[in-house]
Amino acid sequence: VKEDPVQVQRARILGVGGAVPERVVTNDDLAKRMDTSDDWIQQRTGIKQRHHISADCGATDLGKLAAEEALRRAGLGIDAIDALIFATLSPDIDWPASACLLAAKLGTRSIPAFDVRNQCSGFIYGLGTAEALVRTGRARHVLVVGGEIHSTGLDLTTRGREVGVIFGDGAGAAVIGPSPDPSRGILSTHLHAEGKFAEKLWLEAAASRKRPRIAPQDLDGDDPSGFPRMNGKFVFRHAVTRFPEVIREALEWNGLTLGDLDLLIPHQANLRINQMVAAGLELDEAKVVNNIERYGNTTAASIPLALREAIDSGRIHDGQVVCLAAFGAGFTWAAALLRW
Amino acid sequence: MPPDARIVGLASYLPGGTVGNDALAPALEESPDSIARRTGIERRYFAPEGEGPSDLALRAAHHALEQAGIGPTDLGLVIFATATPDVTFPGAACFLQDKLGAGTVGALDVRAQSAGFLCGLDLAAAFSELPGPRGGEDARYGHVLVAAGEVLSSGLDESPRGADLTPRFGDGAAVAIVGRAARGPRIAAVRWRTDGRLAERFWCEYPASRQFPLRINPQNLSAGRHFPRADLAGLAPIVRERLAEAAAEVLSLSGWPADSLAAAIVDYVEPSVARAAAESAGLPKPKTTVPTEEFAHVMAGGLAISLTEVAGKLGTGARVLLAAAGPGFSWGAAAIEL
Repeated sequence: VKEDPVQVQRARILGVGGAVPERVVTNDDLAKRMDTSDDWIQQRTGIKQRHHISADCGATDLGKLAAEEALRRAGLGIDAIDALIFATLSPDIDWPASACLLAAKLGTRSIPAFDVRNQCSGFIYGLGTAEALVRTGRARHVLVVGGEIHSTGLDLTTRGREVGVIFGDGAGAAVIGPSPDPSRGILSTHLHAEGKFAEKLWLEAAASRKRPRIAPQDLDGDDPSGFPRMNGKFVFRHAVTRFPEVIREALEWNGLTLGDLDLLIPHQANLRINQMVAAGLELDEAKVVNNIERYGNTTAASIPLALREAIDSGRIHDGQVVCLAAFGAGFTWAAALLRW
Repeated sequence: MPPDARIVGLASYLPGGTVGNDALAPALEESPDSIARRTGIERRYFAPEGEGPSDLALRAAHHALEQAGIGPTDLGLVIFATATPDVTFPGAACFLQDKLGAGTVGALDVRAQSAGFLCGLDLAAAFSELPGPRGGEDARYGHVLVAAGEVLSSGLDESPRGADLTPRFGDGAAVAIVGRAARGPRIAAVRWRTDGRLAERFWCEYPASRQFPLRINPQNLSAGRHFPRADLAGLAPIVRERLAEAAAEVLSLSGWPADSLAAAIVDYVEPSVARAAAESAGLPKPKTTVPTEEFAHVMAGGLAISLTEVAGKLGTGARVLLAAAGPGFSWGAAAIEL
């Protein structure tokens, strides 16, 4: 018997959730561990604090809390989930995928569960993948979770300060399913990459192309390959070009203009990037969601965390046009246009 | 109705020369014959220093694109399934996208272990079936490249401590181009699943971001916890059952009796367990290929590498069953009509 897949005209976000660890790490706290200052960090990034774990804890432990909240808000039980996508760059373990660990913690049925490894764009790549699964009838409900434990992978000494001050731990989740009203939901997703610049923001070791892929010396020395490395200025320059480009692409694809955009929820990498993007697009500050001052950059978790805050603070209304957009390591960048 | 997604290009690449058991024996302090008897594996291929899965996949990708009659910039998306990316991040898809010269085409990296090709193939079909804004024949992504492969050799324990697992893994990659087309192998059914309760029965633990305060330290390395570990004896009965179930499921979805198959490819790290599973699924023994007997376990890549070889020997319309199981625990199957 051949199953006839049911094409769904539109997928939508049915519920979102989020979680961060309890411990707050302020800029002053970091200044005790490295040569930096609250002024320096705020001026360059807009970050005032971030959350770090304080004992063994995986991205899937935070992801579980976020996913359970998203399911509650969607009014669905875990048995309704047909596929689980976990977006992360800081997996609990090397392999298998952390999605498998999360599926076990949530008590899913035996479903496809896989990781998406697309860094800052991971949540939108995951959302686009979920959209493809739902619209082509491969799954009815897909759980997309973005989660990171950055703090255990950072060099929190003066040597690693350029990267170390930016990142925070957290998780966000969304349940995707068919939209009862085909005019509302995920209008389109747009996924891009430029691997030419992979080494402008990267974590080299463990690296299968090296022999051995990881060794004690990768954790030591002047510029250890076992910690993330970044050319901040280079990344900044590309971010402020690619963000507006992909936002315009998403609007044009749907026959809309910047004037139709009600809310932009950008990835939270750096407040200065988001301010420059908003200014370039002539978007009023009230139309852009930023919360980096409290969480730092939580990569795959930042967009669902910001989306949840926007919903909870009443900034999103039914029928509004909302754009999610991200840029980061890869380089990868992406946008999703939603009619809420 | 627009046509279904099909495989319009398929190619594989195994690196370098074969690595026999005699090459591993001294470091593992076990005789070549004993390795062969115990594992059922005679040889594997190892990538040279400096090469990651994106390098292996690149060579396959050129052939696959040529078959598909398209260039890298005609792609709508690049998907890479691997458990052993070139570097920790970004993923192998970004490196492959650059090496191919695919402009600013999206690069999606997925982790599904031995089910990686099944996962990637299903996602590629899903993306390529998405309609564009004008509907009908208008496609949102068009052709999608799916690469599946590993460089496992740089993460193996070449000491007596690793004797059990080290000989069981190899390197390699394959690439399929998927797009809506009237001709080319048709993906009749794909189903794959996971059971994360078994995740720590077959795994590589470190680096592990869940470890406070540092995801990896010199003690983890000296304990060898950054090498694969597995309870193969405990998993064997589960693998046999799940592989047989998965094969039966996709045959039923396709409406294909087992005896209508021209070939079956059954991949698991232990060839004897793969053979036993094929037998309990009622698959014809002479038509069954076990990738691990040919080139050891290449996790995401095994099914796709063998499919390339098998498809080259069979004609249009031949029915091929793929089934794989591995870490995750993940398992699944696909029915492909060439």
